Amino acid sequence: MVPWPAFVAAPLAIFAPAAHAAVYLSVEQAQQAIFPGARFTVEALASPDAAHRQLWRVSQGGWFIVDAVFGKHELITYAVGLGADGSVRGVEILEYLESYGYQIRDPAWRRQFAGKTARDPLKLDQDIRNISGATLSCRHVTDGIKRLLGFYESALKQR
Amino acid sequence: MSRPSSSVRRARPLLGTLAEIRLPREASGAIEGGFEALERVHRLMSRQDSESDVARINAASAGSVISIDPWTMAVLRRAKEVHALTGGLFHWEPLEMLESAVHVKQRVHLTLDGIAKGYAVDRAVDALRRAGADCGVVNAGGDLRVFGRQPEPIYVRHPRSPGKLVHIGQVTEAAVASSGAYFSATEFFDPRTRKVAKPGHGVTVIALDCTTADALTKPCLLEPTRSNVIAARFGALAVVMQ
Repeated sequence: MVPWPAFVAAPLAIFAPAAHAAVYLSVEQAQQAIFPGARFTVEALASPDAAHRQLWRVSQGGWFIVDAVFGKHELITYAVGLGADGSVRGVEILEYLESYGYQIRDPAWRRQFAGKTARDPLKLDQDIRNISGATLSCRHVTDGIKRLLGFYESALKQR
Repeated sequence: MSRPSSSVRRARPLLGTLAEIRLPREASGAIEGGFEALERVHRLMSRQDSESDVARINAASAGSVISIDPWTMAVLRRAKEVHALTGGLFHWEPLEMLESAVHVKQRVHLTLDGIAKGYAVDRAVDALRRAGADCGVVNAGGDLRVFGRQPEPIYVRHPRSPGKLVHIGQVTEAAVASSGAYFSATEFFDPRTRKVAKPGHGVTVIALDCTTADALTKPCLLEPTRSNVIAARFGALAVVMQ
C-alpha cells in the first residue's frame, strides 16, 4: 500500500495578487555565479532598440549582458555570460514580475518596479511561492538570448 | 526555509519554462547539481534539439534500433506504464524497449512533454539531496516537488483566471502538478478519440514523486469525474477545479 502524501487541507482561499515578483539574483551575484572571481567593466551601448540592455567586459575575456524581455503578463530580467569565443557560458534569471490587469508593457507602470523589487515590496505579493499550473513559457527568454548572440556577432566580436 | 532571507532561490530557462530551485541558505552549494540534472533531462528529451534521444527516435526509420540514455529509458518505461494504467489516456507510441535501446517498429512522433518535466524535477531533488540539502523546492513551470520536513504552502492558478491563485493547503514530501485550459487557446489532444478537447476545468495532482504527478494531470483532466480513481492507482490524489 502506497502511503498518501502528507497533505494538510486548509480553507480554500482565492486571491488575485496585484502583481507578484521573484527576485533571484542581483547583477553582482549573477556576475560571480557565471564568472567566479572575475572583474567587470561597464561598456557603453549605443543601441536605441535595447534600452534595457547593459553590457560589461569580463576581465578573463568575454562579456556579461543584462537584458529584459516582456510577455503579455510578465517581465523577466536575465543575465547572459558569453565566453571570449562568443559561446554561452551561463544564463541566470535575475527578476521575474508577473501581473494581470495592469499594463506590463506600459513603461510608466514598469518603472516603479525597475531595479527595486528586492527592497520595495510595495504592491507586490512576494511571498507567493510554490505556484502550480499554467506552464509559463520561457520563449521570450530564449528568443532574447538568440538576439543577444546576434548582437555579439554584429557588435561585440570586433571590440 | 520559510523565510525568504534564509533561503536561496535561483531560476533558469530550461525545459521550455522557467525552472526554479529554492534551498536553505546553508545548502546553497548544492544548487548547481540540481540545475545540472534539469539540464541533462532538457538535453535528452527536448524534441527541438536534433541530438536529443527523443529527436533521434523521431528521426529513425521503421525497424531501427536507437540506443538511449538510462534516464530516457526510465521515462519511456514510466510513460508506457501510465498509458496502460490509465486505459490509454496517456499517449504512447509503438516502441519496443530493449536493454539500453528502443526498437522503433514504425515511424513515431514521440513527445515526452507530459512527463519529462516531472522526471527532471525528481532527478534534481535526488541530486540536491545527494549534495547535502535536507529540504527545498524544485519548480519547473508549475510542476513542483517539496522535499524535507519543512511544510510548504501550495498555490494553484485558477483554471479560468490565471491571475487568481488558489491556496490549496500545504504539503511536505510531495509533488504537485496542474493542468488546465489556463489560457483560452489551450487545447488538449485526447489520444483515445484522437480529437482535441477544450476543458473548462483544471486539475491538480498530488503524488509522492513529480514524474507521477506530471504524467497524471492530462489523464485526470480528460476524465475529471474518474480522476481520483485514476490517481488512486498511483497512490496519488486529484483535485478538480471548476
